[in-house]
Amino acid sequence: MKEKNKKNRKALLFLILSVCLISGLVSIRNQYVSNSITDGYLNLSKEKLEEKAVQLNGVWKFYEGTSEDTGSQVSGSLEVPGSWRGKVIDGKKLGKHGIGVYELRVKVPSPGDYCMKLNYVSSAYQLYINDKKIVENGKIGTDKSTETPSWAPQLVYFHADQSDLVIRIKVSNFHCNNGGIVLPVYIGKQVPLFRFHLINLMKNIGFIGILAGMACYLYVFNWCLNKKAQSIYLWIFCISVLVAASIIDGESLVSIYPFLTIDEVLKTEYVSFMVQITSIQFYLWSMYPELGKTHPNRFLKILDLFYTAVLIFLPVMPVLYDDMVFIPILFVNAICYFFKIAKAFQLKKPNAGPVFLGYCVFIVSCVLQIVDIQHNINVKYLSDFNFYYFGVLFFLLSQGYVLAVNVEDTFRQSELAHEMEIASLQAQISPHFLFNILHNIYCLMDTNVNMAKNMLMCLSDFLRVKYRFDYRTYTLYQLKEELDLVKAYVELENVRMNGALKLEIDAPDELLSNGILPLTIQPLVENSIKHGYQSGELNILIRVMEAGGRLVINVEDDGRGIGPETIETIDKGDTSKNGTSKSGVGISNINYRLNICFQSRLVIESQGLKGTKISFQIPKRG
Amino acid sequence: MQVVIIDDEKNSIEYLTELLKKKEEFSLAAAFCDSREGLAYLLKNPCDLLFLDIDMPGINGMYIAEQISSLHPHTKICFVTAYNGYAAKAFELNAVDYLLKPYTQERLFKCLNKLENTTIGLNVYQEISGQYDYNLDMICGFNEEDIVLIPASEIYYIEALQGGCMIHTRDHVFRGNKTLNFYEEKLKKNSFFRTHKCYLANLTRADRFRPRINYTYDMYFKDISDVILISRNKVKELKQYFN
Repeated sequence: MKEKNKKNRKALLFLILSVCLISGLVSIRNQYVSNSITDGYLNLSKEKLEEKAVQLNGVWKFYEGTSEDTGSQVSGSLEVPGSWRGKVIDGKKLGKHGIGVYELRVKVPSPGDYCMKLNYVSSAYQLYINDKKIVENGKIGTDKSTETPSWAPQLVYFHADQSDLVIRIKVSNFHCNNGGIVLPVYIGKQVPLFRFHLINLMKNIGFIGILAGMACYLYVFNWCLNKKAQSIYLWIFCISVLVAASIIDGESLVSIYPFLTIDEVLKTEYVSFMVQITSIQFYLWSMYPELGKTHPNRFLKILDLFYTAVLIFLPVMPVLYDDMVFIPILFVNAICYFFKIAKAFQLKKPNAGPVFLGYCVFIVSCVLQIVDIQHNINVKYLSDFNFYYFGVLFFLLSQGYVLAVNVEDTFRQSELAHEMEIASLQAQISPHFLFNILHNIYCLMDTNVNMAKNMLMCLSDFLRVKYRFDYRTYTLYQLKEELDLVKAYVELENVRMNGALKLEIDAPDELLSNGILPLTIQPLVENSIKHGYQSGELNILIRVMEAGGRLVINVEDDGRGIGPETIETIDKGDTSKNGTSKSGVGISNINYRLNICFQSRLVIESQGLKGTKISFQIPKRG
Repeated sequence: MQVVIIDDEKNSIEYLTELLKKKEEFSLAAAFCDSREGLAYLLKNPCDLLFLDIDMPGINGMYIAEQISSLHPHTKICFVTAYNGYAAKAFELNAVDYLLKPYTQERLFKCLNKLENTTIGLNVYQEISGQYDYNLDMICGFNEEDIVLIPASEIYYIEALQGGCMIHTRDHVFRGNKTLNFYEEKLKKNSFFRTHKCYLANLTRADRFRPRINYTYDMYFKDISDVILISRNKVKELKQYFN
């Protein structure tokens, strides 16, 4: 058991390392240069834009409340990427909706063809370079009715006549919760930027692929393990994360279905997040049903379902999608599940450890991701790290780990059941044998009372060992006891077979106290009688010798012998071929136990019609 | 009534003999510990009542019952068995009376009374014997005038012909009274192999195989000049057997 735990812990460690490695490898993509912009000016004249794209992160100039840049408007500065919500421009706190103009002056090395990549600039925007309109995404307006939102990511090409560029992005946001340029903007020559764009897309689609694979894997295997409810919830979770992932990177879903309106995409995104937490809730509930039956849990479940239903069936309304509503719901859920799993962990419920770990990592990464979106975590190597992806991956893999452990357990149990079956076969006393003995005793009652008494004693000796025998434990007893058992058995058989059996035991007295596995010699003698007896007499010789510090036990008979092909099947332990033929099972069982206890096995020699010799070795002890 | 007892245990025979002495109408003709001797005796000497153990080394009681019932239809048979799930069930179904060891005197007399008043159809034993899984070391072969017990090891092959089977040994050919399927089933453990729809061969007597043009093989035997066919689909099975 201890060894198993150790093995499992190693597997878990390997899992954690591999997730970190994959995430790390994916997030290190040194495909762009990131120079921090201060006060809306960036000098790129010394950068090699043919090789790498440039991320335009930093502080941009921002003209609030206007779509016309006249230069005399109130101006301030805003962090890009980031939401303008809650930021203070000129003493005025910005709300989530509004309009404004971002401005950035860039000095490129030389005039020529350039390219920009924009995505998730909410809700509609126009891009001007040197006062020339390059692209319009959606239609900007001054309120919700005049604005036409669009979420399509843009890869725009333009020609710069001079090396000084003034980039202006006029943004209006009356549809989304986060106004402004939420994701980074990139500039560069076409080739590196396109490559960068492609890698981004590949990463996203790769993650979607992993999720799809995990969904199938967890579903199929949980289903096979008869955990139907859990398999469905995990599947729903995977699929909803998949949908969310295709949206939050802003590329795959819109690339595949460009006709989707921003309202539909927004709705899908929020619903997918709600479905995620609800499915986790149901998953945990089905895993630990006794912990779920508390009122707060029920309340939360109803709340989640209600909110999800509202999101699905009502048209997109700002109130419902507000962070003030959405994030607290997520948060309450997270806390509630945390306590639930922590309790399961404390109560040492099965699988609670990995689930707890996976869940904690998931929650922490989700929180980090939310913080990242709101406040833009800018730590080296981590700025591109998608915490949400990492958390989901970790959570799912920990479920996969739980599943693997369960599969292993099931496998072990079935193996155990098979062993138990063999054991019961081995310990079984053939009813035919037993009733014949009883009949013999009954017959002898009148005519030969002493013999009947003797047989009863033999029978009880025989039964005592048979019933005491426990296949699962490997406790040894003395050789003498096994030989007595054999004697009793042969005596019983002899009555049935009218004295045709001649048993000879050749064992030195000093070896009689040596330890031996119970029921190793008796089944061999039983086989000799059952399969070896032809007619007339059957001589059985049991010889115990000492050779090279080991005990050699020989069981010889002069019976019919075994054919070579039969020996082969017996040796292989191939009991399937003979069906449940008891002799095959008996031999392979003895082999199995000898191997476990003493690393030895039976050696069978036989010449057809001239008898059989079976021998095995055991260590000599005290 | 002439009684014969076949049981592989001496004590059992003695006990039954003692009990039968109490009934005057029964007289013991013979008792056998060895099933082969018993069958050999019965083939030549009909009796009125036969006590028969089922699980015996050598020849199974079922086969004896079946052979005797077809040879001497008026012989009444009483099975005596220690434990046999299948047989007991088959007997119940066919109203064949049987004794379960250990049995008392009363149970025996009850059984005897019942036997006198019932007759079991000929085919009942054959049916039970056909379905019951057991092995044979010897089978009955028929010559023109008499019946012989042939040890399985002496048989070279059995051939199915129109209306019966022919059992080939080194020097003789006997008629068998069962189907080839029956022999195949009961002789399987004695290295018998069905090489062809019409042939069941004893592989320990086989000498060599020779391929023919159409992917079938000929099987030659030691000591005798007979050749039998191995059909195409059996060749593969046979190769597996020898590997």
